[in-house]
Formats: sequence, structure tokens, C-alpha cells
Amino acid sequence: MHQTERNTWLAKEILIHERALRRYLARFFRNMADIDDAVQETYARLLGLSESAFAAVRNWQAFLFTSARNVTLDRIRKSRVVSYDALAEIETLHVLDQQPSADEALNARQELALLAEAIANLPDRCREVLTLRKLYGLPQREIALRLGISESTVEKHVAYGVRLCAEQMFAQRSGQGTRLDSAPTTRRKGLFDERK
Amino acid sequence: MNENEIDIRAAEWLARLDRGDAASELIDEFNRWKDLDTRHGAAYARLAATWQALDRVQVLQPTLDATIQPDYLREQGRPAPDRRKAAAFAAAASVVIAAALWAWRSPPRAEIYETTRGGFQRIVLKDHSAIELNTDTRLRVELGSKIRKIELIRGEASFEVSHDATRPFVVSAGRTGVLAVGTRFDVLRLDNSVEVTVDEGRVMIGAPEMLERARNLEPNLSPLVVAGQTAVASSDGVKLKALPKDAIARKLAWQDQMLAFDGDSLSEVVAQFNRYNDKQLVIVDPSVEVLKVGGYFRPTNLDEFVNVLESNFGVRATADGNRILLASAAAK
Repeated sequence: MHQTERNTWLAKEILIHERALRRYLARFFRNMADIDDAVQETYARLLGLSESAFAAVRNWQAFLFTSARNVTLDRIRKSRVVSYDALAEIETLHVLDQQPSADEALNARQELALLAEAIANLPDRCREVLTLRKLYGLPQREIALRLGISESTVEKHVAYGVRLCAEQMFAQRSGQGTRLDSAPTTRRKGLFDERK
Repeated sequence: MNENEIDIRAAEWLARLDRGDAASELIDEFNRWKDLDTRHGAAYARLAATWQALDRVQVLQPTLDATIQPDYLREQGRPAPDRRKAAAFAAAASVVIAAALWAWRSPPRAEIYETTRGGFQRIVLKDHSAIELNTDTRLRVELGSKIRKIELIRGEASFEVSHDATRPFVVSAGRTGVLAVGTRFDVLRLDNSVEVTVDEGRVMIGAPEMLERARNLEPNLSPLVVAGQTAVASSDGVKLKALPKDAIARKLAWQDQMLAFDGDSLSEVVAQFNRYNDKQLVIVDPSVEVLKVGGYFRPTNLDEFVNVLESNFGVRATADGNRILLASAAAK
């Protein structure tokens, strides 16, 4: 798949479920870092699918949660202290109960507003850099000239800005940048903690 | 925010590569990093998808002439107070967004021009730009105060754009757009591709909605096509090809209502004639497909062309209703 297409697919079919995915994983992992790790591992499995396997998937949401479940199972099995309770619970969980409700779907205008908002919520300098880059399409070099900062500083703002935007758009956890969702992540006590 | 090490590294790579001047060594280094661990590629893909989705805010750009305001999104991006909290995020709806925003603007009056098969028309617009319509062509012209918008709905047209830097001239053909300020170029819309040939000056090729916001020809935004080049845009991207002057002249011979060939294969030539006539030429014998044809022909004068084929190229033509079948005279 072409990179642009893959990005579009990723955003449209996968990343929109990241919040729900994180909620799901929070049942098994107490540590935020472990959840990040499991999310990454889940995405890695999806991206590593062979062409034919990829073409065969009919429901990406279900596939995503099944993959996340398998990642979790692997982690549980590999962890030194195996909790049979954890295994038992994960076997009985219906992954598809985790679907975001249909009314959470956005229309095009709301999506655009969310993107703009993600940039609006960035810290000042970072917001200016991303505005010039994305709203006006200026290259980094020109942004540096315009704002009177070095190119490497612009680069750092881009790196920070894209992570914060991804966080706001797809992850939405407690902490910074939660204007879009002030409800705290409901997290049960993790069933096991990889970091012991 | 998370302090995930892979995520941080992935963002650094994205920002570095976004500078657009990466040397091949750096790209190699990036690929090595990416291949080290599948999670590296996954973290990078997630951020790249985010980065790509953010391109969509371009449609919010104030106006074509507005000065650049780094703080523009500070207030514009703030949510309305009653806005629903949203979880789902379908970032792929760029086309829908662009269309919706287009629909909001009340467009200036648009005019439709069209030619029938075999037809030809030259029109001069109010801004003194001239458009020539080739056979079976339909286009829509909308001259606004900030932009001159032409939609090539089907067929082929040549544009002689009168210079006006304050009102860019954008021709769109499906998903392909051409931006000019003052120049002469030709656009041919085919089923799966668009061919742009520049006769004089230069143009920029890109998505129409992006070009309509572009202030100037910005080479770092999109490919530039200069005089003497042809660009073929399709779903595979844009391919540029330099053409000698006489090849360009042949390509644009239709402006004199002629077709010009120089060693083109008969199958290509037949395809050209068939654009202009209801009566279709059909090659029924593969051995004549590869015949090399040269010369100037009037595209609507099929009889003349068929005569030449029969007398000079060893082709036998048989009338078959609304078709003329072409085979080798040597066969049978």
C-alpha cells in the first residue's frame, strides 16, 4: 500500500478506535507506559500483516481489538508471575463491547474543527510553527526565518507538536491536552503489572 | 503526554524528514531504525497519519490574499462552547470537507461551454484569457474576484491565460488541478489520467483545492511544469516528460483543427481520429497496428485519411455500418 493511502487507512480505520483500545487495555495494564507499549505492539502487528491477510480483513475494528487481546495474552504468558485470573478474565471479555457508540461518529466539519483545535491547544511557539506548516504550507526553513528561530528549533516544535496532536486526536488520556474530553479515563486496577 | 521512548524517537524522525532535504544516508539511517523493531514503524506510521490528517486544516486558511498569521488558529481553532465531545475521528474525509467548504461559498456566476464530437470553439473570457475547446469537450468557467476557476468536465482545452497575479487561474480536471498566473498550456482529460502540456511559461500541478489556496507558484508545494514539458497525472502520481518543440507543436495541432503525426503507430493514430468522429475506425488485424504513420490530416475528414492508408500503407478498409474496419491488404 502506498504510504499516503496507508496513513489514511490508519487514521480512518484504526486510530479512531485508539481511545477505546486504551480503555480496553487499561483493564489489564495498570501502568500507562505498558498501555503505550501494548498499543504500539498492536499497531505493529496490523502493519506487519501480509498483503493477502490485509485484504481478507472485513472488520478492522474487530480485528484491532482481537489483535490487542492477543498482544495482551502474549504479555501475560511471558510475564513471570502468571495470573490465571487475568487469563480467565481476558478469555471471557467480549472485545466488541468496546466499540465507541455510533453517535460518536463525526461529520466532516466536526473533524476539521477537531484538527484545528488540536493545533489551537498547543503551547504558543509550537502552535505557531504547526500553523505555518499546516495551515499555510510553509516549509520548515521558511518558518524558521519568519519566526526568527533556528531550523533545529522548528524541527523540535514539529516533533513535539505532532505527538501532542496525535495524543489529542486519538489517545485522549488524562493529563495535558484533555480539553476535548474532560472525563477521566476509568481504569480498573490493572490485573497485572508488567513492570512488577 | 506519554514519555514513550519509541514515540519520541518516531516524532524526531518525522520532524527531521519533514524538512524535506534529507540526504540518502539519513534516509538509510531512518530505515535502519524503522526495521530494528516493528514497533518503531508502527509508532512512526501513527504519527505520520496524524501529520497527514493535519494537512486538512489548509481549507481553513483565511483568504487568498491574507497575510500570514502564525496565530490564526489560536482563536479559530477554539471549539464552540456547546460542541459535543468526540471520540471517533475519521481523518480521511478530506474530499468531503473540501466539498462542504466549497458549497458554503456562494460562487460567482458560472458559464458552461461545450463542443460536440468533431467540434472546435475558441472563447475569450472577460479577463482576456482565451480558451480553445477541442472535440467533445465541456468546461465550466467561473471568474471570481480572487480566483479564476475552470473545470474541465471532459475533453481537451488549451488556455492562454492573461497575466493577473492577484487572481490565479486554476483549471481542475477531476482530482488534478493546474495553477497558472499567466501562460499558455493544454489540458487533456482522459479516463484515468490527465495530461498537461505547457507551451509557454510554467504551471503548477496539484490537488485543485490546494491550488486554489496557493498564492503563487511554489515549487516546494507541488511539481512545476515548464514550457516544453508534458505532465501525466494519474493515481500513480505525476510524471514529467520533456518534449522537443516540434512534438509540442504536433500535440497542439488541433488548435488549427489538424492532427499531426510523426511516426506514431496506427493504433495511436486511430485512437486520435476516433475522438473526432462518430464513425469509428477499428483495427481488426494486429499486423497493421504497428504501422508508423506521419503527416497532417484534418481529423473530421475520415475519407481522406482512409484513402491515404489504402494507397500508401497497404491497408484495406471495409465499411461496416458506423465503423470502418482496417486490415492488411496482404492478408488473404
